[in-house]
Amino acid sequence: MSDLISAIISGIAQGMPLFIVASGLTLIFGVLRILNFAHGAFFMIGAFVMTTVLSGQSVSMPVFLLAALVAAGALAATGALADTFVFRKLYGQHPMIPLLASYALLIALDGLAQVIWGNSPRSQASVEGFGGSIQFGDIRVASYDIVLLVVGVIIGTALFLVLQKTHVGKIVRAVSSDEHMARALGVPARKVQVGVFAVGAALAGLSGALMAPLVSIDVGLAPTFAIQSFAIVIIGGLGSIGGALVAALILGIADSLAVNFAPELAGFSLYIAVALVLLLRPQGLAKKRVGGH
Amino acid sequence: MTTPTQAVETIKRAKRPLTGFEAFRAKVPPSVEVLISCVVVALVGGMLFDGSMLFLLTTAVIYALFASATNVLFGWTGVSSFGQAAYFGVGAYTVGLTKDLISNPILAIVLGMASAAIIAGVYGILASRITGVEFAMLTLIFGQILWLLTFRIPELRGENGIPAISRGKLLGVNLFDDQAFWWYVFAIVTLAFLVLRRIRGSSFGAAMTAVRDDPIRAEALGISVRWVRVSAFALAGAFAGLAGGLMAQLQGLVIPEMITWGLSGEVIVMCLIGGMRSFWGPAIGAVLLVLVNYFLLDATSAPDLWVGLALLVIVLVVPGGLLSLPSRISDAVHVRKKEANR
Repeated sequence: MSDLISAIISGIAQGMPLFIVASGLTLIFGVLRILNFAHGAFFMIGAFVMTTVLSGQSVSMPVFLLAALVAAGALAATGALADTFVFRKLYGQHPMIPLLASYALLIALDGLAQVIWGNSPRSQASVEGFGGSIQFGDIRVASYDIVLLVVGVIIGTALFLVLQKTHVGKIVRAVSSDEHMARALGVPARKVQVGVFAVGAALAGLSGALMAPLVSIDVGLAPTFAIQSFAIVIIGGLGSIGGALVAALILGIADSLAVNFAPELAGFSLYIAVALVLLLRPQGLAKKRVGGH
Repeated sequence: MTTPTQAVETIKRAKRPLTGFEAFRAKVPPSVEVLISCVVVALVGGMLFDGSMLFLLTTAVIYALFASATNVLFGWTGVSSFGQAAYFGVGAYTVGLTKDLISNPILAIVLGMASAAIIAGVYGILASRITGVEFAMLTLIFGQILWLLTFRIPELRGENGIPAISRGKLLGVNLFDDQAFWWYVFAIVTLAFLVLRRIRGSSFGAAMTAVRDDPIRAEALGISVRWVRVSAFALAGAFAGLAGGLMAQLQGLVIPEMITWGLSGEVIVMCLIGGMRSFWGPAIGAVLLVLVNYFLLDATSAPDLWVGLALLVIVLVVPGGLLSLPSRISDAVHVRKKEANR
């Protein structure tokens, strides 16, 4: 029983970075109607920036979080640039064209990462004092998992509050539901588009930075995490942040259970979940745009 | 979807009398055009080159078939698939797995083609309830599942792949000879192009165009959009599998790299370079990309960066592909003349 509980807790924690990266993807889709294939590359660059900033060393918690913010900031700039120079011209065109453009961006960013960081995998040491695990009675939890949980909850709450409760969120939702109408009412839609793309990319970068201590960092990260976040937004329903959260938790827990109790299924749980959802509920768990309509 | 203004433009363009090469081309029946182009390329390649250069050209021709098969989805039916390498890989692995059972090379690749068609068809039916970007993501995910399977199923031997696939003998000729293999590949690719061209001109081809341009109107006209999409998917899978089988015989080896999304992306780049709206565009794009890759990119350290940037520029500047440049230029000239006459 205690094994089961610790597997579920670790699954929830593993789901958090997935939620953060997928929430960026779904935010961009919900507002801009662009499926950003390059999202996996944003994630990967976040992890690479992390190793460069910290040079792979183990550091204390505040420094680690600061470095993660630096990575997120770098990706926000990348996202804003990508939106300005690539996607700006493509809004409202046939959906295949932005899809191909983001795919091109993915290949280019992957190549750029190879040029900058080389082909050999890098690793990032864990945070000082967070390498081990904590015992609660019978239940053993890795201490870094707790960090992931806390950050995930903070990001999720912040996204919800900003989108639902603030003026900025209202503007974003307005652009999401009807861009032309929003423009007619004087909403600076262009700024919203750049901002949303930057925030979405920053979320991917932040997630990459948080995952850095847990994975081997090389150019193979981009496809792996692009596919996981795609699976999550398909299961959750494109454009729904709540759906992304539920889907990320389901996938995290399913994968953790598979690793612990059915190792031969590990790595497949994601695909099985996607297949099931598509067969039973092809529109995704929640069919709602950002903000809900 | 076509807007009224675009429709007027298209009709105007269609009414303009054809000139020069286009007028000549319109008189030649499509199947004759395919036959002549293929025979000319085969003769030129086979006579002028041998050794590693011929090997490279054979690779290019196989990719030309793969790209044309992919264009059945992108250019003809308007379906985005980012996992076509999966079917290429199914064809290749079928040839690899049956290497000791089947000695006839044609039988092996036909089997590869059939298995790819079946898998693509089943997948198409399963995924046919969703469309658009969700479908595009699913194709990618499905490709990754197959890639993962090559590592999980012991018979597929993971990273090492299946080596020592023999090309076999055909009509007493040993295909191990590169020259003989070139003619063999060309015979098959020509046949495949003939079939594809035939389908393009058939009523089913017209239905695919209708589904691409306006699925709602197509449905209203009595075309089963879902069935057209599924069949197009199976068709594209079948010819991708054929190309994969040929590639397995050419290289004598199948490895998981044949299924990765890198290849799926490359084949889209090929279609885009040549242009998705013309029959030959993807094939020409494939040959160009293979040659450029070989002669230019091996020298630099970062082919991906340049492939990505080139693709980005094409998408942003000439989304119709390089083959659309002549007509775009002539359109621009036409407009300018008109303005001058005014």
